[in-house]
Amino acid sequence: MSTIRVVHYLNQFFSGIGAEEHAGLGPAKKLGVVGPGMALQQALGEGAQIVATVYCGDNYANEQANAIDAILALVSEERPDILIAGPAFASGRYGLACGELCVRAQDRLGIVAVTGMHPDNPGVDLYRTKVHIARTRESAAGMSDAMKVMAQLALKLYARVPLGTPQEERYMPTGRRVHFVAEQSAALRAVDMLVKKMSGQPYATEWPVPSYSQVEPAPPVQDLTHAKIALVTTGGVVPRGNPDRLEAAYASKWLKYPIGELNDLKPSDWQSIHGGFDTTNVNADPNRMAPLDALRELEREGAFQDLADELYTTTGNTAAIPTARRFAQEMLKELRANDVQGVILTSA
Amino acid sequence: MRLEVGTFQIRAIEFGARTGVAGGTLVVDKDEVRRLVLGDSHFADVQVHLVRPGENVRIINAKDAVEPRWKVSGPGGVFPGFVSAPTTVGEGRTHRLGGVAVLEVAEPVPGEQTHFREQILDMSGPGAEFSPFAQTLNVALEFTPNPSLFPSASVDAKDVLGGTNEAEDYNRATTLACLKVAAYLARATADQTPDHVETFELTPCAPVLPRVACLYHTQANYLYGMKIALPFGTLVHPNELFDGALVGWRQAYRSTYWDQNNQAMRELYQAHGKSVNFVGCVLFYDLTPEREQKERVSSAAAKLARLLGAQGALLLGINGSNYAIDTMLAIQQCEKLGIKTTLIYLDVGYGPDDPGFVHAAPEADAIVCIGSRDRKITLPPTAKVIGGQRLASSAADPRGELTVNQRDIHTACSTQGFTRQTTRFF
Amino acid sequence: MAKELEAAGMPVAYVTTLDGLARSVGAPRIVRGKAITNVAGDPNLRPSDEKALRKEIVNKALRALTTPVKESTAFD
Repeated sequence: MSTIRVVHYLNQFFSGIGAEEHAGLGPAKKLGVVGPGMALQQALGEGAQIVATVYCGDNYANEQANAIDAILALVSEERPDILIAGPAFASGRYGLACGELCVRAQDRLGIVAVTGMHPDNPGVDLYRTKVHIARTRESAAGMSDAMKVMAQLALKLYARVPLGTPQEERYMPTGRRVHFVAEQSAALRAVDMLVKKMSGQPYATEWPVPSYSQVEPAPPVQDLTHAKIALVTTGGVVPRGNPDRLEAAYASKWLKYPIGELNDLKPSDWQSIHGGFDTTNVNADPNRMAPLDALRELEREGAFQDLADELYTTTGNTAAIPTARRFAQEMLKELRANDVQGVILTSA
Repeated sequence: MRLEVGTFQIRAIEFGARTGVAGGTLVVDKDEVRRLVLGDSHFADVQVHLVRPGENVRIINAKDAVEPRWKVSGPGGVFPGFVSAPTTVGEGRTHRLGGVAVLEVAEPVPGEQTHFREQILDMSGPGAEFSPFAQTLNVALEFTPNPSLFPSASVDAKDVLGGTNEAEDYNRATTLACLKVAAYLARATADQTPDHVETFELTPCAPVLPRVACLYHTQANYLYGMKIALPFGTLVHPNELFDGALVGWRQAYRSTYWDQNNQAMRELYQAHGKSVNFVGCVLFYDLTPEREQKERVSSAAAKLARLLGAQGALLLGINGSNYAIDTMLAIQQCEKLGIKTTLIYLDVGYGPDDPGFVHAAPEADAIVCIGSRDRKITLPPTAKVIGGQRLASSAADPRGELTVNQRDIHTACSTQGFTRQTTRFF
Repeated sequence: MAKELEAAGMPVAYVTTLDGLARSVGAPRIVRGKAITNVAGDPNLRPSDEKALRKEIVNKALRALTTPVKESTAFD
């Protein structure tokens, strides 16, 4: 039984090169463990060995074209059975690099790949459905614990041992669903669960509610009277006839329409194509979803300086989080280019 | 309130000259059933099919399912407000034909909304495991409407969920017809002795046992004959449901049959006096696009649980657009009052990125999952289709192979508690 | 979307009826709308009253944009 070969990926900081000023470092490799790799090796035990550590600056990994492929090439040279990336904790760029690297290692090298992040890491939403992400604490204070969890996950996946639930094995829910027929009816299971819950005994929900990552709110608009704001809606408001075919659900795009010359949205010219609620009231008066008339009035009164010339619109009907985030990123480029300082976002 | 339910366990059904039960066989007088139904001018015709488990039959456009029951003693009668006077039921003795269901089979009529209307019942094959009525001996009533009721083929529905007045009126008629037939079939046993009798009574309990209420988020059903929203909730004794006080099929995938045999209430009855003190049931429902309506109905439901002295609440929830929020708000309101909650719920996720909740409150930490609404199931071609020429929501040939969602299979997504289908999330 | 924009430094006043959902998801600045079918309006009001309601909702949104927040906050 030969030893399992593991490659460990780290960023510039955890590999000991340096902090932010070295985030532009290109990919490199050292044999054996580096820095926290020792804790990982300990967690892996004797059956697996970290044969090499690959590391790269977070900025390089995120910004350079082909960066991930270059890192992957270094990983691949070592013919590993397992890639363990990070843990990235709450560090966004590190998390995105780890996530993308693991996905490609799975797809292109066909090996087990595992990483670790704190639930607030933006990499979680983007990668949890594609790669097993160990749930870690927010900072390196949780390092040894994170290494234990990542090691356990990786070894189980390698041995093709079926994983327990995300709660039991401490990874981020991947969204994978397994359907089966239980021994007992839902009613009996529910009564049993309720009895346990009422008596203070431990119980396990069959289906954990999602926990959403928290974001740092933006600072407020400093001087509204001299600020430009934009109107954005996920209520599916489009010109009558939906000329650009915005979808009623699972929107694949967002659109913008000129409103610079308009004082309000007339029902003869606008409608909502949102499939998730009764749009009768909005179609009778589209200002009910995109309150242009009120905004114009307040603009005239000087509450704010300027309303952006375009209405940004999409359908927020069960849009998956990664899609919504992409829309936001794209819109943000435009909003910034137009000196928009604040957004009013309306939805159902 | 003490109700004795006497069961006649039926193992075979057949047509015959006179309706009756003997030796485990239900004989159905088809002409009498037709006469009963066609006495209502809503119908131009009705076909009566006997459909048995294991047969190579697909029933499409299935709607409600009703268990034959007849009250032999005690106040009122079964299906109050429809077949009997609308006075409170749940006491005395009621007979039931175990293993039998009367099925309402009807193509959508003009003006009827067809969102989530598809309900397919395969009596054999891979689809059969998803619907309990693949295991019952079914008397399927296939209705043909009186065409003069629907003067124009396309009409605008006033009520987005219910459809036009004409469609609502017609649907009430098909519901009533099934209830009449179900009562008629069970009535044949009025003077006979049941195979066994079960007693349902919420007897006094040891005070140490935790008090538990069932909070049932219903949807536009008929209660004592009234189609009514319940914005302030209402209290019912579980026995009232066993006598058919709550009837009618709706998109929450529920059927009358599984309120007559409501498994959540039956399990609470089983546990009553042992691990819980089952104190009663709260029905609640409102059409709530407005925030204030949601706050009102959920708060009222929790208040009724509180007035019952509940320390725990078992919620039968609706995970659909509007209503999911009301279910979750009710949970939050209960937990705020110190009432511990458990929820029976359907996963409506579309793909791995979608956690499957329209809305989720962190207080909903004890959920029993009844499976996934959009799970794909392939049904093989079938020898025989009952219920029309076309499916309600697709142009596919109903006799052919069909790939459907779990929600398209008759009552497969009901949260009334009977199902063993489940989903786990990895 | 609101969270993504906020995380990037753009303040967003999120006008929605489903404020409970918005809060559990963690949108920072939430303005409660009237109803799912008419978040910034009310067909049951006279037009002049409805316009006043809409203006009030938009004003709340503007107030939300100019208020520093630390966590998910509802603006009434």
